[in-house]
Amino acid sequence: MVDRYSSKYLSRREMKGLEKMGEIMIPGDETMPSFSQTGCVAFADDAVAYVDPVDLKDLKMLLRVCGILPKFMVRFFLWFFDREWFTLLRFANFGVRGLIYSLYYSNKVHPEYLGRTPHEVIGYEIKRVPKE
Amino acid sequence: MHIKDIIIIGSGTSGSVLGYYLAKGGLNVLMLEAGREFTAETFPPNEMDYNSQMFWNGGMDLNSKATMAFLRAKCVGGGSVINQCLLDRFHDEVFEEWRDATSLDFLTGTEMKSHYDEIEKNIVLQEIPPEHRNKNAEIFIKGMEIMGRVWSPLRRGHVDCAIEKGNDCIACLGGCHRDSKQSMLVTFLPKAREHGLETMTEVTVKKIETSKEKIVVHAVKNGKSLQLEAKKCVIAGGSFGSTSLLLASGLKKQLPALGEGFYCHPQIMNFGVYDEPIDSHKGMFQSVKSSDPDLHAQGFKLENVFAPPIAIALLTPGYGKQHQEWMKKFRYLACIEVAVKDVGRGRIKLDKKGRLVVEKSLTKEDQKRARTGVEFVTDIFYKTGAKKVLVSPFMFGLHLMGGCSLGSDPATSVVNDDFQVHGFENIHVSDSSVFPRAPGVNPALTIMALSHRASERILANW
Repeated sequence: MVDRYSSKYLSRREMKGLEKMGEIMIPGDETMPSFSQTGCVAFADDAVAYVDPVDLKDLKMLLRVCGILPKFMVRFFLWFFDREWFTLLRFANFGVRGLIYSLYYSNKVHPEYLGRTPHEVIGYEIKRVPKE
Repeated sequence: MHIKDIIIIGSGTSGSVLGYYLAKGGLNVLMLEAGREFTAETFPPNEMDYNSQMFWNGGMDLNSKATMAFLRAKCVGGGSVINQCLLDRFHDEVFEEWRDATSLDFLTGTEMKSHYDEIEKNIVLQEIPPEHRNKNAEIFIKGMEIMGRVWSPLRRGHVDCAIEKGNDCIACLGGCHRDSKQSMLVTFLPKAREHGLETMTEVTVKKIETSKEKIVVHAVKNGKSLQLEAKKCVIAGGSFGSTSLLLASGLKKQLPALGEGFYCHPQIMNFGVYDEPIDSHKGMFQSVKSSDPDLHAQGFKLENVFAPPIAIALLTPGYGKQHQEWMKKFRYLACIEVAVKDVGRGRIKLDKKGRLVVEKSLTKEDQKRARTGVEFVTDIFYKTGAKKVLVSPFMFGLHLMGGCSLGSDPATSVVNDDFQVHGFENIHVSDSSVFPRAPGVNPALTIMALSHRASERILANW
């Protein structure tokens, strides 16, 4: 079994904080899988490997806090970020949205997830005709 | 150590053109690139992977107030690999504005014609034919005609996109897997290498030092410091790259205009929601533009466009159920971008730790232009049957220009008409950073044309 919380750049607590935020941002419904259902958090390293080290340090701190806080508090954090009242909130909002939407809509799913992928749900199908 | 004739810093739309003409002209040329080199076979197919691997800072930079995002490529071939290769010549009036701003006589349509002609000999350029338009383009055309406005097909560098076989060009935003898009990887760069151009990839240049005899480039590769020497260098790292390198090299004191006058054609994405599927992501996803002189005079241009899911998710507001409902409408969205010809002069600088800071906001005039464009597009959507319209709350800039403006006066500009940095004979800059104003036209072809001119001037003065 592949451990979805294993990461080269993020601690286990940070990974859980990321999944907690992802679950609030994409809770899923009868047709759309939630962030955690897809297991896309397992691919976090693909997204954060190239992030500027200073930004990564800030991100890790935020994720660590979210990993500790109860879900209703994380929900408040996200609500607060989304208000974008001042610059720091806008930076945080951009960073969080960028990471979570990148992971989910990358369409990378955990091997144990067998449901419809995000691309299948939204109808994003592209064809790459190879060169001859 | 053997000293090169010239080091080019940056391998993108400008660097590769310079590399070709300078190597062909007999110089011993080394080109440095901070990113990796990908090929049609190795471009990451996944949107998240190409965002993180082929762009600076894992995807995007933000302005200092986090109200605007900037996308800039970090790979061999630079922006030409990840853009849509839309190649237009500038109108005479743009050069008139530039001439007024710089007092440089060569900035005329007539003078630039030979450079455009030369560049176009090396690229396959085609107007996108009607049979390749998708439904999003049809909505654009229908709307423009209802509104009585002039539109035209986009002119694009491409060879064979296999649209008739069902190929979807949106995939080539992470590099063209068919080698159809006329990026530097299939045009100027291979020719430059045939003439002896050497390239070094994954080299981050930190600063340059100059003396009368040579320049020394201080760089880092694989975590190790590196010093490279040449008789001259050409900086072609784009608006952010070239400006920040000159700032990091301590030239601001001698060049007060360094970092001043940053423009980016701020883009606002507008979505119309229709009852039937539009499938804006299918086929040739970008094919028509506004060419109405009246709209141009109002300071904006329009293009039909779309983006893959991560980008669309980032462009829509909110999160949770609201976000999910928007994304479920993905196939039902038409999209038109408003690109503003911005007049507000932004500023590029470095913070105390040497990190890039971009101060850019919309002036009242820019806001008026954006608002007029958005209102026009909203009308198009409703008049063509949209049930709802969403104006993205997020603005972004793809055309990053200025910071090292051309000009005759060292007090108000950074490079002269030989593309030499004022007061530094062996440092040249040639890329979009030398633009003195926003042109309101896709800049890539003119970046190449100016680089052809820069290579001629360098060779003439050698």
